[in-house]
Amino acid sequence: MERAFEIRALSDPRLLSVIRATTGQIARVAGLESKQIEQIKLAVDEICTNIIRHTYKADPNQEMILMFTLLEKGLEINIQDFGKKVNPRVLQRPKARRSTPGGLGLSLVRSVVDEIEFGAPTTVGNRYRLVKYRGGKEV
Amino acid sequence: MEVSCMVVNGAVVVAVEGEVDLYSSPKLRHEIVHWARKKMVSLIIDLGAVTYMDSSGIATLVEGLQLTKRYGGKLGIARPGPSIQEVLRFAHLDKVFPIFNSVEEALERQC
Repeated sequence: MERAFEIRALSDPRLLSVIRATTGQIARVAGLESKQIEQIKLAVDEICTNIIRHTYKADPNQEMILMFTLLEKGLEINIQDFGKKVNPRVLQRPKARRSTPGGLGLSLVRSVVDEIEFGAPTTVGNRYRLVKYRGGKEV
Repeated sequence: MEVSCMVVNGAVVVAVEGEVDLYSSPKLRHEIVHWARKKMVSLIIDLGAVTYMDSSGIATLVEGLQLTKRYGGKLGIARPGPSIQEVLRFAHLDKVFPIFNSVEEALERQC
């Protein structure tokens, strides 16, 4: 049975540590192991950092919504922003160059999650879907 | 995040404590750029007390490496924890930085 939890956060870099801590607690509830918890915290941090830096251009007063769903076998996190739509093809490049804005961060995200989707259709903004399974792929 | 600096035998040890992310990394960058502008021959970034680092922190270290290389200096990393080593590995940077198990080893080999 799926159980969901949602937090709304301002795009203020000072809140990233709070978002990481909350993600870590929910990942623990989802039954992820310590290393996996650190990895999903990194993935969520990198997506939020990317939204703050590139979508919101460092405006700390915009909004992000993080939706956590406890899956039977792990944790799904959807992160929604309300900024200008990002071309999903840009984000889905297998290996972004390090000189590309956000390239390194997104490359790290791809390395630590089991499933990732960028730019799922929404009426406004962008949505990023991350999934981490208990005992998922070894990285 | 806290940053403290100490000059030892002509090298500067930049000791970092806490979490390095988008919010805190500018503070680390400020210190690294400060010492690079002084053209310190050896910068050792002690990450032994760092509990978290994301791509913002990694990018800061890469910038420091590039700055020091410009004048023939060196930038090494001391005591990175397992999670930071993993991030460096994922970023394909684990072979780019000289990495030392202790500050003493870094001072011995990079001065």
